[in-house]
Amino acid sequence: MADSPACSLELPAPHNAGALLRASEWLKEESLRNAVPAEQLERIDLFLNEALANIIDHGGPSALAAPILLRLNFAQLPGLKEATITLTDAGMAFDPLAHPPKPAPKSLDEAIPGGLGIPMIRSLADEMSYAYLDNQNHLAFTVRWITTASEASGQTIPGVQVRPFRLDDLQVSAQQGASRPDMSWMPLFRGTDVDAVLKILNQCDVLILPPGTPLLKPGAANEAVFILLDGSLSACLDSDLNPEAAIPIAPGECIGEMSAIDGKPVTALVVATDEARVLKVPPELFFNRLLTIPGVARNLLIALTERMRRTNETMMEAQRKQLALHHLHQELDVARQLQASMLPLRNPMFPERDDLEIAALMQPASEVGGDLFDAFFVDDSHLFICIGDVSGHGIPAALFMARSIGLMRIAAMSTMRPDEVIGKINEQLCTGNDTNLFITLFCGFLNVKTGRLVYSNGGHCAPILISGNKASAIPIPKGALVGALPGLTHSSLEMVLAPEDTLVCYTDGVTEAQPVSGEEFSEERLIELLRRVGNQSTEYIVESVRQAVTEFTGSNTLDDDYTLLVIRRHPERTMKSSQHSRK
Amino acid sequence: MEISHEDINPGLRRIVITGRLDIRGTDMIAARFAELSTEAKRNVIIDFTGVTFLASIGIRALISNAKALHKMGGHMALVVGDNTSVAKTLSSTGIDVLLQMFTRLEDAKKSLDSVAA
Repeated sequence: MADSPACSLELPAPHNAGALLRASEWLKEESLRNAVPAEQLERIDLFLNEALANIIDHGGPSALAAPILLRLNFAQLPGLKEATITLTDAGMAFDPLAHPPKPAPKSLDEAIPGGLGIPMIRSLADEMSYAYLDNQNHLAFTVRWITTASEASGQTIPGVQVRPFRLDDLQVSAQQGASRPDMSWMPLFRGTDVDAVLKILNQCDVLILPPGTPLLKPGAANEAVFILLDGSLSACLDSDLNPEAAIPIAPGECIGEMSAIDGKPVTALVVATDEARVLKVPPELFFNRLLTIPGVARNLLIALTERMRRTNETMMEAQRKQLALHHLHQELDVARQLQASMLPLRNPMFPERDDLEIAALMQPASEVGGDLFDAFFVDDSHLFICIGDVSGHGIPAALFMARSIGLMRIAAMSTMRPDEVIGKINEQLCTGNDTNLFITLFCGFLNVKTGRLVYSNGGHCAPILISGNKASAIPIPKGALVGALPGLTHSSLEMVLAPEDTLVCYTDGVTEAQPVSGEEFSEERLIELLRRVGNQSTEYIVESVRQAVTEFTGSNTLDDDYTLLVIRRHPERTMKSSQHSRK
Repeated sequence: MEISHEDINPGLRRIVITGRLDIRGTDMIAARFAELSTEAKRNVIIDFTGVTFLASIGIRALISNAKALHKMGGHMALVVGDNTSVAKTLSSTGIDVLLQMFTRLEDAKKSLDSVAA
């Protein structure tokens, strides 16, 4: 409970109607200084008028011969403010509260014109008390009101200081010592009568907000207008408090005038970014006193217009960005098509061949991916196959992938040893690789006549061999991922792909696919699935895996790219008869 | 403190009071107010829309004049417009039970038209 110091007025004897006017003027000045709302001020004013009239008319000679003392107190209660005015007079003891209320007249004929004062003031008070002490009447009259949002929240904001406005609040450092304060830095007061404005500012409070303290919160009611005197504030329209969306408020700018004008809740969060010194102009002072000073209303309109223009510009800018983003998306679509065109994405891959059945799939996580695969004949009988996965995804991974696949095609044409292919690519990718991107690679040369597969590996997951109703990962030679460290040597292994055997190469996007919460698809699930569909066409196998992964994650959007390359050998002459399930 | 009047028709007069009806203000207009209210036998609309402060002394004057008019067979109605503080004071003292109170001048006219003086 923070009580303001009491203010008082002594009305000297003899008393007359002029004293009432003087008391009323004094009350108004004090009430404005303490931001008493108009309705409460009117109630106190009426009480004062009636009570003083009573003292003068009915207090007798002792009342008229002695001064009447008026005292005004303010108190802050939780969510409420109260004003109490106490009248002390030396007249005859008279307790208005002990007076039984007159029954209200039922008709005009019954009505007695006088005697209305006491019931009137009793109906106006939120609380009244009376005491007769030291031969004096002490009559106290209290009104209360709900404090405005910023005042009310002021109680819950620790560390906010409130003090009356001082003249040096207006002195920016450059004008220290100037005899008259310059207010031209406050747009609202530009070109206005300094003295008239000061007279009103002198009745205002200044809030001192520590950094991080909110001044206004979205959705809260606000009646007052604030002007930043010093420090910095920022207004945030975004609910997620995106610091980039915050609008800085410069000293001199107005805050809260929009909600004060239309009475609607505050729309922005206004927070002190540094310690901020803020002038608070109560609505009564703002609308009834400040705006009536020539020039102030015009300045306010200018400020509001500027704000509207700024909003328009921000909206135009947002629209422009949206358009740019749209273009970027279109370009990404083109990039995706270009990337896809680098890969042999056609199923089946070698429709002209009876001895080979290959199907492939690449599912990018973003518009463009970092996975790659390839299969092409280096001579009549030798097929080069490869699958790889660039670390990361998006545009950088796609560019790295494009570089990798180009280098690999060249390397595969110059040697038949897969470990050399990987070694060459490793050296080339390491040269000038500042991007910290690298790639896992599995590659090999398959003799389609004998089924001999010589293969090498650079950090990639082992392909799965389906043979009859069995499926299992093939043994792979150790080898580090490609493009990370120069000078590494890779080794190779070999195996025989028997007729009707199927080799499933994949990237870890398949086995690491997972729902928003839950375990990964896993190698075990993949092997189990391949065991079930292993005797179907290679295209059918690819589609089965795709469906299973989509169902498993419960989503069409992927965390990582995934790629499948499924290779099967057929006995040369009987091939077509075995393709019973091809779609 | 200002008091003015217009005779809407021979049977109806509108008295407009503006300003502060405290002791001083009421003193200033009391005689003229009484005169205008009761000088002819007709209905009277008292327009308090522009009254910024209504003390009991002002209400006292209002009731005195209403009673005098009533004795002569005339009727009085009040118009307060959007002046909520005056409306509140009048209702807190029970005056709105004794005299009809309207926010719109048109409604006051209609009401008094039905009870010709």
